[in-house]
Amino acid sequence: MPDPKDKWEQPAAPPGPVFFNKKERDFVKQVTDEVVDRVVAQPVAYYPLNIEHSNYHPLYGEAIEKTFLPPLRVHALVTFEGIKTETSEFGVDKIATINVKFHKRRLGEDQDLFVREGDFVLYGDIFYEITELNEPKQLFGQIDFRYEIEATCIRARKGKFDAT
Amino acid sequence: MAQPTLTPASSTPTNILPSSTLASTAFIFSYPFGIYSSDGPLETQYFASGAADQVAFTYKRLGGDVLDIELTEGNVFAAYEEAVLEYSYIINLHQAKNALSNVLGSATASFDHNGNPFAGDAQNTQAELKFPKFKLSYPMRVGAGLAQYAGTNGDVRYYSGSFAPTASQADYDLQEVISSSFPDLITDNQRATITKVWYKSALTMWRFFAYYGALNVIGNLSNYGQYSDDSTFEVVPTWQNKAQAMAYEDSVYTRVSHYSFELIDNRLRLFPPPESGWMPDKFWFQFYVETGAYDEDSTRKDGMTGVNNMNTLPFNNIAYTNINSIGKQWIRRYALAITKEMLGQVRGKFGGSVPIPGDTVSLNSADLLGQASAEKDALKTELGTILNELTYVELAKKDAELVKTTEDVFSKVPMPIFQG
Repeated sequence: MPDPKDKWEQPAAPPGPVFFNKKERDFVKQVTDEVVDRVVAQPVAYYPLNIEHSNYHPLYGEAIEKTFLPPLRVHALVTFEGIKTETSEFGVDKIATINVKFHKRRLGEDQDLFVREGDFVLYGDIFYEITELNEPKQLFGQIDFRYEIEATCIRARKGKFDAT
Repeated sequence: MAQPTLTPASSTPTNILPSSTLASTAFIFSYPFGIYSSDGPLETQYFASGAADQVAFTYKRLGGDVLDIELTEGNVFAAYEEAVLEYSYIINLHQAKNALSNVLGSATASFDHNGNPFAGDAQNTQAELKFPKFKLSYPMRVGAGLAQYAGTNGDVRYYSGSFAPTASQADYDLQEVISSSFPDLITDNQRATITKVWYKSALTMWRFFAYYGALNVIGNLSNYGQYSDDSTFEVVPTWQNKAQAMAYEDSVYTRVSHYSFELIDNRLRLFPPPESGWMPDKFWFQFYVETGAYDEDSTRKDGMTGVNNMNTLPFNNIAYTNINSIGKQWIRRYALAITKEMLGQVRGKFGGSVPIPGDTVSLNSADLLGQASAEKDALKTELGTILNELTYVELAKKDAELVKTTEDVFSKVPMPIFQG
């Protein structure tokens, strides 16, 4: 009979990551908080859509008049991507875009904020609408730990959103 | 510049070194070794105060009021303890060089996991703090061994045996004599060494008529001459008196002996062979049994189980309160270097590069590790160099140099002319 200590038993659950675990993930958050909030410190005012108080159309689910919650100041890494001129059948239009990279854990865990398309941000003194979101990276390749939300934002027209 | 506050505060546990801490915090902290902290064998409140101050020093020194230091105060406490122990280690090494030659063979102790003596004759000596007497321990050990072979005792026990001579027989088996007289003395092929052979005449007496065969010296060889036929006597020193006595004994015991001997293997050969009619009743011989280098006489202690090298010196970790201001500053600097090393390890786990949204940020782990290594080496070299200049041997050399230099100076001072 083989020695019991030599008997292999399948564990109930696979072991966790060996090299990158909670301590490492928390360390990355700590450093990222410091860099984003205190070193780079680019503040944007985030205007979340108030779903409860917006007047949605009962059939189509659209709201012509939207209501927003009071803004939150968040820090993010913002890249100004310029102002492009577009010419169409309606004439010449100028479109300003920015790319905002949010720290997902900071927003979700500390500020109770979730980034969604259709929300607005104030960067400088211009309002932008979030038109596209992407979560391109996993932390240490772990599927459950994405740490970045990349938002593509287009300058909002005055008639569409004006919180001034 | 005040460190900006993270608003809202992070809900994730963070490790950021505080700007300061209380000694009471440092006192109750669980240290890796706990030698100087609460319940430690060398516990002192001053260690906790020093560790707490080190937190504030590290915080300022590494710019904690500008950017985060990703360490806890516990890391600094541990670094401080390590620095104190490192200092104690280096100082004790230095003192071992000073003291070892004087304390070889002295009582030693048993040491616990911290290196603290807890049992044995020397457990409470605090030898690490003491200035030893000059004892020439090792030369004396060598001298004892040499004395054995020179026939002047040394550290072995001498025995004597005897046998009755037989007329016309020159050879006598001493191995047989020793084995029959001391059946348990020689074991394990030990070697007996014969150091002296003698006999006693029937009427042995101190020779009244000394060298010259006439009554010209009389006395006890100490205040002799008082009854001689001369009227003037030279007063001589004791050593001369002693040397004369030894020469006298040598003459009496050796020069006028009737027999000589030769050792051949285990046998003693007498010349001339004893003759019937007149021969001594017995011949005596003195011998000792060769012992191993680690055999200690059961009846006396000669330091065999005492201090034999640096490892058995009864040195404790140096008490924190016995470290002066020079040492305390060295400890602060070394603890800071250790802290840099810790911080470098933390920041370098990801190769010094941490992912942030849209990019990666390079941390200064390589710089910190490089600085820490260089600073630690420099501090140890600095302390080692100074201590090497301050060994007892070097101090004696410096004293000699000072005396010589002073003499040179005085030799240039013009002597005033005496005017009577």
